[in-house]
Amino acid sequence: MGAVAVTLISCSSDPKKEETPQDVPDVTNVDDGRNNVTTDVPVATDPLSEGLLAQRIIYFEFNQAKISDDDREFISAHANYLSANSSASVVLEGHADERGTREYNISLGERRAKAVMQLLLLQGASKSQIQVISFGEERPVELGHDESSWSKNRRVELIYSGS
Amino acid sequence: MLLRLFFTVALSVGLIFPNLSYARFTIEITEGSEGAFPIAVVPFGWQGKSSVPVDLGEIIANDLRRSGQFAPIDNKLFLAQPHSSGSVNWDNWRILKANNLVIGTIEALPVKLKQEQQYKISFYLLDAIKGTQLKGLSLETNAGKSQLRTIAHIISDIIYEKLTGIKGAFNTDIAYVKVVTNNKKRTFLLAISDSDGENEQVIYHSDQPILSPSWSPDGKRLAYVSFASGKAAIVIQSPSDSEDIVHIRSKSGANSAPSWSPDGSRLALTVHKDGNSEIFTYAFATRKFTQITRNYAIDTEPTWMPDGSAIVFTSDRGGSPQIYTVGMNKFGVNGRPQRLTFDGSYNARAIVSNDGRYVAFVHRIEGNFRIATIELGTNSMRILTESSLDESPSFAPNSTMLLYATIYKNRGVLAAVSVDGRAQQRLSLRYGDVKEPVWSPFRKQ
Repeated sequence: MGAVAVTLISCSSDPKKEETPQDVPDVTNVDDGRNNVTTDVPVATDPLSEGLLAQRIIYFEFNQAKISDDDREFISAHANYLSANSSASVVLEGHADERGTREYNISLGERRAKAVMQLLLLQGASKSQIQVISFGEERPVELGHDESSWSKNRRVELIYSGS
Repeated sequence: MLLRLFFTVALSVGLIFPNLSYARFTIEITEGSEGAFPIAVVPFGWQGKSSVPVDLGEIIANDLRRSGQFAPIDNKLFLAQPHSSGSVNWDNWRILKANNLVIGTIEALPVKLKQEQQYKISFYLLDAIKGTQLKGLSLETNAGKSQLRTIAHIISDIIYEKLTGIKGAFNTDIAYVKVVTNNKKRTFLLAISDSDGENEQVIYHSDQPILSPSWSPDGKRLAYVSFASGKAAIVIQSPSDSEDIVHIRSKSGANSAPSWSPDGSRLALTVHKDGNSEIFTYAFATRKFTQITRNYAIDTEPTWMPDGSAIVFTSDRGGSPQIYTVGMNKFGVNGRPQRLTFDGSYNARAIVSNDGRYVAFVHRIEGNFRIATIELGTNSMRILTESSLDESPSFAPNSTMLLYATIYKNRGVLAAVSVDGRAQQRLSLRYGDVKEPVWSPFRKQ
């Protein structure tokens, strides 16, 4: 997936920091040795690139919007982050697999994104920080016509933006 | 009888994307129809210099074959090739068991100064068994060679109507979405072609998804959903005028699933707001939105009954996606929604035939998504297709065929099936994926 644009936010203590960092694919830890970086370039010190906050994708069963207990844990981390950083905002992008009809799948992707939004709101994020959009089945990650592709396409992506 | 034809200016928008346009469909009849009427279509006689510009007989025979109701006889078997009714030896056709015979000529007219070559086409539909003429007609072009395919489809329509009593739908268009992938970059194209897949014109393209095209009842405009703005939004565009573009936006939320009311005065659509989708109507005259559904379930994919008396839609208010209908009057909802489908755990994206007899939709059975119909009144359901990812059913304007999208050999292709399920065919492009087909209304002449 595309790189996530991140604005540096003054370092706040991460409540989840003591936990074991998860295995995080797709995120490169950049350690260029510089301190006091003031540019918008994502760096290793960004809390969003570490631990539970580096997890950004929630997967679903066919025609379902139920969030698994495992995923609730990292969604909580994001809720705490949003709560502690009122200037941060996130887009919840809902997606569906290719099965079923296209317009229904837009609504289904939207329902999935809404389920994630409600968890974030329950745990302290504010509504003004969250935007829900759905692409239905139109932006698959995998193009195959089988369950191994479908399971990766039924998802919500958390995408942080600057400002 | 002389019928003069007047045509609108030929579309030129497609020329902007020459590499993506001019794609021809290959039509493959996957299931012929038993009991189709044998008919002989003789290659038309040519009166002009050089070679005949278009093989009208072949286009007509292919049209009739695609309907599933006719079985054109292989013209290599013909014992003669008459071009006028006076020169027909009926025994030559009775021996081939042809019920009917189509003959005709195409004539290059004298070219007027600085003007395009025009043509005169004459044809006769004959009853080979009785040895009588059923129909004879002459047509002249006024915009040259480009009209000849259209004239062939008009002749097919006349033959079809004369022999079946049902208005033909060959001289119609289809709109569809094509996806072309180059170096992992996807381009989405909204295209229109003749009903046989020829004369493709691209009317819009984007690197963002396009879906849900819907024809206006007069066939002059298309509403569709574009993601070009970053979220689902409704655009109305005239295929013949690329400047004529209108955006329909609700005050909040994303908009999708446009469907024109039969009188053209309103658009039914889905408004996506705060993670919930509801059906609204939008009145063009007042620019007002009226809410049609109101609950926490998914409500989407609205479409109209042909008399405008109800909206048919998909809702999962009962726990699974099913088809519902809700009565409409000119102010809004008239009565409570009624559930229409009860068989299966997934029924969605309904479309109603013009004659008001059938509702077609996507039906899940044993994990496969197929096109099914319900006959209104009896509520008997029939599954018409056989593969696993069939979607987007659309009726021909004469209610005899359904066009839909499917996956064949890992590619998106269009397919058609007769409403009785007997005749099936596939329309494949040489490259790219095709989806979201929608058959145009009858052309006004």
